[in-house]
Amino acid sequence: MLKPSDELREKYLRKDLLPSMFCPGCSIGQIMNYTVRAIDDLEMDQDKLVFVSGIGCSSRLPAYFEAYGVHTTHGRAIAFATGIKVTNPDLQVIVFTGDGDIAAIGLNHFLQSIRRNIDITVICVNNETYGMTGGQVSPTSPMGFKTKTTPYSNIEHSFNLSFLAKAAGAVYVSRWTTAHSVQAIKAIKKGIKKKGLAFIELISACPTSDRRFPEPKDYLNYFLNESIRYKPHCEDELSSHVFKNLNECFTAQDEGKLIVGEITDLDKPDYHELYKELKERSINEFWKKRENTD
Amino acid sequence: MDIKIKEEYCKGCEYCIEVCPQEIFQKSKRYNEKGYNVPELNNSKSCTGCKKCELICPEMAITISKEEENKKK
Ligand SMILES: Cc1ncc(C[n+]2csc(CCOP(=O)(O)OP(=O)(O)O)c2C)c(N)n1
Ligand code: SF4
Ligand SMILES: [Mg+2]
Repeated sequence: MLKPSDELREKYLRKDLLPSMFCPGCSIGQIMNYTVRAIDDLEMDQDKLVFVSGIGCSSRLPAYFEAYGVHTTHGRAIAFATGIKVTNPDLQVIVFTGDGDIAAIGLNHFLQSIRRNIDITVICVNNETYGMTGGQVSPTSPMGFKTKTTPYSNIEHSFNLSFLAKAAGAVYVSRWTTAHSVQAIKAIKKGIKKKGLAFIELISACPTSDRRFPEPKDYLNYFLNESIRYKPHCEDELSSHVFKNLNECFTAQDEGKLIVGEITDLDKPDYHELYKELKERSINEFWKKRENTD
Repeated sequence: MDIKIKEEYCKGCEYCIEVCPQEIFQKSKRYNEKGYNVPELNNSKSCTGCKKCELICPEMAITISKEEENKKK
C-alpha cells in the first residue's frame, strides 16, 4: 500500500516552505511528490542524498527536501553534480533540471556527462517552455506552437531529449508525462538504482507561462489521452511530438502524440569504477618504474 | 476509507476532481485563506482506496487511509 502523504511530508519535506512556490496545477509539485515516494521506497539515507539543480522553476525543487541541496547557475547543474559525485562517490546525486536548463544553455554538459557515464540521476521537468521567465520558446517547444517569443508560431524543430540521451549512450532513459504517477515513480526508482547516468524525462504542465490550455486539468487530460507507448523497434525518433516518417510502428493516427515509456536500459561500466581501477593501476605502474630506475 | 485534505496547502488545481474514478471530489463554494477554491467531498463512502488523488496532488495535500488505522492511533 502506498504510504500516506502526511507521513511522507513529515519525513522528507521542509514544512516551513510548504505550500510550495509553484503555481496552481504546476507539474513540478507532482514531481516532488513522485520523488519523495521513490526515495522512501528505496529507503535511502537522507544524509547521503544530494539534490542539484540549475535555474528555473523546476530548479527550485531541491529547496523543499530534507537532504543536501545545491542550487547552482543556469545550465550548470550537471557540471556541479559531476564534481560532487566524482569527489565523493558515496553520495547519491539527483539532478533536477528544466528543459531550458538542460537543452539550451546546459546541453553540452548533459551530453558530456552521458558520454562519461557519471553515476547520477537526472530528472528533467520538460514543460516545453521557459516557465520562470514568462513562457519563451525552448528547444523542446513543439514546432508550430505559439509562445511569448514566437507569437506567429515556432518555426524551429524541437529536440526529443530522451532520444538524444539514448543516442549519446545513456544507460537508462525513461519518458513519461506527469499524469503517469505510478510509472514516473517506478522510473525514478529504477534510475536511482541504476549504475551510471540515468535520465528521466517528465513531460510537464506549466499552466501559467505556457498557457496552451485554459485550465490545469486540460493538461492532465491531454497527457492521458494523447500519449502512446514507445516501441523499441521504431527508428524514426525525430521529435517529441511528430514523427516525420511514420513507419510500421506508428500509424497516421499517432502523429502528434506524446511517446512515453522506457526507452533504454543497458549496462556499462560507470566513470567511478573505471577511475578507481585507473588510479590503482597507475600507482602500481609508477612505483614499478621507480624501482627499475633505482 | 478516510479522506483528509490539508486545505491550507490546496491551490484548487482540480486534479483530484479529474482523476477520481468514483467522482468523490467536487467543486465547492469555499475558498482557503490564500483565496484558492478548495474541493469538497461527496459520497466519500464509495472510496476504494486507489489513491490516484493522493498521487496526482502537486502539494501532497491529500491523504487516504483506512479508517481502522486511524482508530488505532
Ligand atoms: C546565464 C543565465 N541566462 C539566462 C537566465 C534567465 N533564465 C532564468 S530561468 C530561465 C529558463 C528556465 O527554463 P527551464 O529550465 O525550462 O525551467 P522552468 O522554469 O521551465 O522549469 C532563463 C533563461 C539566467 N538566469 N542565467
Ligand atoms: S511559471 Fe510555470 S513552471 Fe513556473 S511554477 Fe508556474 S506553472 Fe510551474
Ligand atoms: Mg521549462
